[in-house]
Amino acid sequence: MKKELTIILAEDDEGHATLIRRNLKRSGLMNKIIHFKDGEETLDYLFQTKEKKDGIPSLLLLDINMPKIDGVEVLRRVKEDPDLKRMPVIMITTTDDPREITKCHELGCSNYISKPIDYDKFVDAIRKLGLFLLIVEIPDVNKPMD
Amino acid sequence: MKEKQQKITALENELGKQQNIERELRAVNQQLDAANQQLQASEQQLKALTEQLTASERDLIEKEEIARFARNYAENIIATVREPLIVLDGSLRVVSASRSFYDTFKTVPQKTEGKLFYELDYGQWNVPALKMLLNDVLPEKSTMDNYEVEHDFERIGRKIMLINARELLQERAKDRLILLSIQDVTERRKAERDLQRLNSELEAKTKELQQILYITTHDLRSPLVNIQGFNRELEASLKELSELIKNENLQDSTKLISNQILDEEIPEAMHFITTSAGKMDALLTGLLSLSRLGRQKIALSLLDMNKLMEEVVENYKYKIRESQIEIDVSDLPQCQGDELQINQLFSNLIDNAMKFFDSKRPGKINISGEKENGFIKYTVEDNGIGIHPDHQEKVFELFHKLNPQTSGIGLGMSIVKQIVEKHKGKIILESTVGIGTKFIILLPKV
Repeated sequence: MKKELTIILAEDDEGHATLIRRNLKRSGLMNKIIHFKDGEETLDYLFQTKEKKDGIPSLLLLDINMPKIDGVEVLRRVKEDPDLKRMPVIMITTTDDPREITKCHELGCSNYISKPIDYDKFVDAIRKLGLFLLIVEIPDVNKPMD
Repeated sequence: MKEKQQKITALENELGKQQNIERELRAVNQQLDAANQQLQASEQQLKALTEQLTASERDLIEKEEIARFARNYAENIIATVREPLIVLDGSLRVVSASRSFYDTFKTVPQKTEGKLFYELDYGQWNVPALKMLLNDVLPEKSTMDNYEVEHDFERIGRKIMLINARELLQERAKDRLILLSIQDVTERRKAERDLQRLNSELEAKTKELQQILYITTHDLRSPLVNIQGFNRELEASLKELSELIKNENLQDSTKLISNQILDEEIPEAMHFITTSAGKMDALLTGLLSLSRLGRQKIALSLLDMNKLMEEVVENYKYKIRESQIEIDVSDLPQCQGDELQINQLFSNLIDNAMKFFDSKRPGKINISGEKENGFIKYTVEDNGIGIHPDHQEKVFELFHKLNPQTSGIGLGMSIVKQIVEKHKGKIILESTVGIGTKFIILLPKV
């Protein structure tokens, strides 16, 4: 993943967001991370960047339980949009409800990470995500499709 | 001579006369015989007729008796039946009514018999829909089942009546007869409505509670991530800080105090934060799974229990070998169930058995099953320490732990009970202290 690419983090819990950012950084991921605290803010930003043509973010890290508009709904609207739908979305959430996970996969999320309560596991999951993002080629969402 | 001749002639004449008389007599006699024969024949005919007559009379008496019995029988039935019954003729005029009809509608035969049904008690039966059914539907179908009328009745107020009607076929009489049974179902309907309302209220409440349970447990996890997470962050920072301070040249007394703070007090505080958060986490995880079980619809399928149990036991392979436990599974009948939940049910039972083995003897678990009286019965029996009668009721309670020393949070058996109930089954506990515990699970027959 190229350094200049931006990551959006939609997470209503400030603490979680901080922990995620710290641990992504510790895994070596130096990309810019923009944090939003609810689904509405996130969607507003995504649709604005799309209109302004100043580049759709490369990746969306999305929590499910958020005020105003929840993560599942954000995912649905992103995947409905012809431009935004190419952006990979990774769900990061405390939910361990298998049906919710299935639903997100059905809507087209790229990956799903449960936030384990156990901090070591949590750190492990986030660091692995960071490592994964470091090596994975994320397609440039803003390039026209071949 | 002449005189003699005369005498002879006279005698001859006499003889001739006598012969004539004799002939006549014979003829008469013959006639008499014939008459006699006729008489005898008639007598026989008469006797036969009399016999026929007696037989007919007997027949008649017998038939009359049968008819009387039938009538008696019918009348007794009508009198005994608690539902009001009324018989109408073809023009819907009341022929008769049962005692309970008079009782129920607070009326008397004088005001009822011979009257038009729709005119009874100020036209209280003059309900258009009922009229339509009696006039149009009944002649066509000859029966009418469970028709409900809600109506303000003259003397008994607003009631719901359940009406059943039959046309009685009369072979000879051209007129039809209609038997109406009228049952007051007001109380029953009211009770049913109450029950329905209470049921849906209960359902809504349960759903609400499950929702609350889910939301609270779920929402409590988020702050817990922060408590644990930042505690660890602090730990890391503390370590760095300690390194820094240790390299500083501080006064001995300051060093002593700072060491105490950095090496003992803060780590101790952090330890309590970590373990407490861990406990809370275990509780929340358990509650979440319990609430998920409550919200989940069960997906029933026919389960090969021999295969399922093999999988369950397989999961305990390591523990079985380590603790030298013997698990004996006999041939199990199939059942209808949710595969995941039934798996969890038996896993929890085995898990529970393993926690309470008696250290004085090698642990043993017997799992068996059979079909019994409309149920599929499975038994999980161990030779553990057993459960005291005082504690047996509490086994299935939420967060009840028989032994505070054992691992877990006291949810396993609550989950077992909930799974069994979700499958409309029953669980029975039989246990003797010092001998072992037996859980019997009854699931509805396939």
